[in-house]
Amino acid sequence: MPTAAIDVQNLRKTYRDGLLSRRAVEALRGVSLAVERGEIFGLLGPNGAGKTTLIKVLLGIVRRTAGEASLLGLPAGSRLARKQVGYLPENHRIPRHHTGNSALMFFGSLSGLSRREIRQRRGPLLETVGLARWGQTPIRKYSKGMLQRLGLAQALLHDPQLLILDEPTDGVDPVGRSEMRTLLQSLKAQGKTIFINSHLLQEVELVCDRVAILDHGALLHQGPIAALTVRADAQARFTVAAREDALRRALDDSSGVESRSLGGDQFEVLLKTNDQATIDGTIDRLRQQGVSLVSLSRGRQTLEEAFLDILARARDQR
Amino acid sequence: MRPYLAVIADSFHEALVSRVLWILLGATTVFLLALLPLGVIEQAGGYLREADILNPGQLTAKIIAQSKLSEPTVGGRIWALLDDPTRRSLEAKADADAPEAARPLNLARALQGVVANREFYRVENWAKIKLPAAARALLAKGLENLPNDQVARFNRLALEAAFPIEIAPAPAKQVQLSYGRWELGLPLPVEPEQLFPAINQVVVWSLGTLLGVAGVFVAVLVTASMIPVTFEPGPVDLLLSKPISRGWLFLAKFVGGCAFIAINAAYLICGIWLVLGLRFGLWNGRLLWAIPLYLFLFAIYYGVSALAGIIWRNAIVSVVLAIVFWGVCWSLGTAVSLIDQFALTPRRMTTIVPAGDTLLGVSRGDVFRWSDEEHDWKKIFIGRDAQLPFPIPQRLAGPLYDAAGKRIFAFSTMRPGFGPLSSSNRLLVGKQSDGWRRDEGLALPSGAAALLGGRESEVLVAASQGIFRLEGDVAAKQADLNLLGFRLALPSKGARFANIGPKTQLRPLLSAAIDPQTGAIALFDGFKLVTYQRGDKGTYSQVGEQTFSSKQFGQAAVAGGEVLLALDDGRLHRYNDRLEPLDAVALPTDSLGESLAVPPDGRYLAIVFHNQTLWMYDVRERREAPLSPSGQGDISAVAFDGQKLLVVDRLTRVTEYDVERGELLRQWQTDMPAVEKFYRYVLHPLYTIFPKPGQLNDTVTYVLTPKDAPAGAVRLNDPENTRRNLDVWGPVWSNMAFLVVVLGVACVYIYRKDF
Repeated sequence: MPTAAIDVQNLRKTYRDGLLSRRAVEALRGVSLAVERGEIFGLLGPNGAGKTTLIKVLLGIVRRTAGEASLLGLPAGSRLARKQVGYLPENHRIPRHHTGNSALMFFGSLSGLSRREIRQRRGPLLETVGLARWGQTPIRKYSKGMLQRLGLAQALLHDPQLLILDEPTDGVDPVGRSEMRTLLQSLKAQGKTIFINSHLLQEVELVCDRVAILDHGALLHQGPIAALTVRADAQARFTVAAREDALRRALDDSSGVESRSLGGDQFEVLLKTNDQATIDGTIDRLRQQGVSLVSLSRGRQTLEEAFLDILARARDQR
Repeated sequence: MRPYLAVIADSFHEALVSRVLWILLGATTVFLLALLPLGVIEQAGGYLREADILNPGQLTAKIIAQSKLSEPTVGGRIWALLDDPTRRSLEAKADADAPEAARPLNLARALQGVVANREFYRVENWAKIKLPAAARALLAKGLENLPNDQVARFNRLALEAAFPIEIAPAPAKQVQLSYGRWELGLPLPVEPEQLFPAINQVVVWSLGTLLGVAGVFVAVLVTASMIPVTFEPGPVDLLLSKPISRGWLFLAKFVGGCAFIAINAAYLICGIWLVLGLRFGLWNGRLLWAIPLYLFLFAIYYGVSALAGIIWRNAIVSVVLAIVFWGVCWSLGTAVSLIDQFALTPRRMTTIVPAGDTLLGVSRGDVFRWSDEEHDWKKIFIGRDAQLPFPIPQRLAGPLYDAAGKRIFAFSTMRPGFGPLSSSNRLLVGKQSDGWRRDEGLALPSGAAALLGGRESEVLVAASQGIFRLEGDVAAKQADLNLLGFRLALPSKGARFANIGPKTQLRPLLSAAIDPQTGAIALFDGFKLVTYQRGDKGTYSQVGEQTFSSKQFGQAAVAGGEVLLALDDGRLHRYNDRLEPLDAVALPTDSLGESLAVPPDGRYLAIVFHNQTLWMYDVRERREAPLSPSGQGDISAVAFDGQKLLVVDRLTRVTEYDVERGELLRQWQTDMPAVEKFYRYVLHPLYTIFPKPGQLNDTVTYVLTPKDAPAGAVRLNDPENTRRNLDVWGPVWSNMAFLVVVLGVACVYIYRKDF
């Protein structure tokens, strides 16, 4: 059974600061999460939540204080693990003396690729990220979006199994974001695991399968986006086609159910609960009375609403 | 390895793209182009200098006299070519009564104008003079066909032939320094090759200034940002996410910075090497060694800059700390040197003499006696000149303690060691009964170099002209004759130095030694080692002689029937009493043996080397004696008191050892002055730990100067250098150790750092 792409258990990181390192700042407080292979996972959290620290611990850029972390079954931060990872840091800075091509040659060499391999790969890769015509151009002439694309190219150059992207669409225009979403889906289709850290919740909602929410170094939530955006106090709304008497029979024993005619033989049924079992039971009874189910809609909230809701609840508890 | 090579290659890439590299290369190119017109022109030797005119007055008089003759003469020809003002000046010069203002003429300059004239020579003027062969050969070629310098050469030869007493012969060739078409200064009467040592010295000095100071400073300035920028938050995340080692990444970046500077240094030094080769014919391959040496010098400062760059990740802090580091190194070196030179060395005892129940020590020509009561050294042997505000440091031959007369003998030499200027005038005598007051005794034999205590309390003087024995009452002295301010020593009335050996003609002696048992004497002048045997009547006869093809530096001793010569080839050469070589023993150091001592039975030989270490040799057993004296590295004198060994270390501390048992018997030690405590416990440990980049210039000088350079070159183990750091490679190793530590600390820091 393949191990998780990212497995973090009770991870802690305390930064020491001040004279004689007497001031301690807890950046991660016992974080545990798992990212399965082949999924797109989003890490969310406000500024200072510990998202970048978590990524840096995973890559060995920052040493963990306690806990365990592994990437693709290898110890996080080990050289073997880093070989399997492509990383696009937030606010990365590629040395300005490079062109697009020479930057890829440099970073590819750091990843252990031969010059021949780099030459073979960089053309198609620049094409993929939309920089095909800019390979010979000094990067000091690149826009921020172009630099972000080049950063993504260097992360993909050595064909890693796991991509860790920190604010990947920062500075990228809407068209570029759309292209990046397509690219990420394509990579997912190839079996790559993608770990995204982003403030742009709409982007995350559009591409991620699962998310985790981090605040003040603690994990508040982890799960599929679909489950996160379902409102606990929402209603289920059915549109059915039936005779009225059949509908009444089906709903007689149900409490908290309202119905109204939509004209003709169509009715709207409003179930004042979002409980799955209740919804399933109601559907079963409607079908037993021969009622046709035209549509079913459940009340949802956006990822942003869910995110803010979770943060607010966490802060209330503190 | 590939990732790290990529980092180094990236530094080259960065350097190539960077404008800084091109600016530096451009500035270097301009500098080299400016040097290119420099050169030497080899000419036929014809230039007439002022010094070539041996007797200007006589020459002037002859020229004027000949000009007045009706027949054609050389003087007449010269007179004809001179202009009126020059003639008037010449006439005024010849007239002793003429006022000074009327005689401003530079005769050589006037005559040089004549010598340079292609029309100077006319057959009729030289009709009675025989031209030398060289001049005739030139004449045979036809003066009209010769270039100017050849004509001047011919004219000069012709002039010398006409006035052989007044004008010195010119060398066949001369060199003229030039810058493009311009001639710099006057022609030099040497072959071009003879200029090479001087050019080497100029190059060494220039490189020391250009690269050793200015170059390194610019290099640190230029490279200071490379490491801080790499480890800034933006780029470092990208780099550290790659499968590479942090330490190797740092080292690769460091090497990359050095490579950047290597390009510039190599360009500059190769350029200078080419200019010297092409323009001066001086193809000194050693010059190329300056590239790695100066790169190493830069690496030391860059190491500090890089460490600061890693910790603070700020280029300005890196530069400032590199400069502070330079300042600290310089201050430490200067403080150590100044304290050593002005506070410690004047106190360091370089001679120790057992004198009955006390000890005498000599430091810079001053004699001290140990006082048990005051537990300190008290200055004795004070003469009339002791009141001088700035007494001139001297070096004493002796003192020699005369137990029977309870007095000491010594004489001063003008400079340390036995040099050609080590002339001395009078024997100095101090009697215990007079409170050891110094009195001048009788005049010394010419070339006196050492005092030797002979058998039966004889006082012997070893001189380059032979061996002399003090006879008679030394106290009965005749007053000096004062002539025009110079004191001339007159023979003493009651005493004399009797020549008790064969007359010799040695060069100024480097060493003289006597066998306390047999009285056999060995004298060594660097080229010749001579031994003398004592006869029944106390006279000496020569029994052996050993000559050396080139000058050797070393010290001799006579012990156990053998003559032992410690030379600067790092070996102790053993000879029998007839100076037939026996063998040579390797010495523990290449440092020169400065003072040798043997006990009365001749069993041991103790050598104090220039590096202030002591080595004991068992003459009888022919092996190193198993004694481990304390203070190695700080030992300045050694002597035997009977069979006991006296060793001076820590400037004035004397330790007595039983050599047979290897036991420490006794110590004479004073309280350490505050300045010495500060030096020993604070300054010197710091200096030892800190690197000594400044001393690398000595290494560069040593490496760049050919070992057979006749003048100005660094000569190791030259006893005429009072105190020189002989370990030219020592700074390289200590700096290397420092660099390794700095880079190691940086690597550890990077491994532990959360970026």
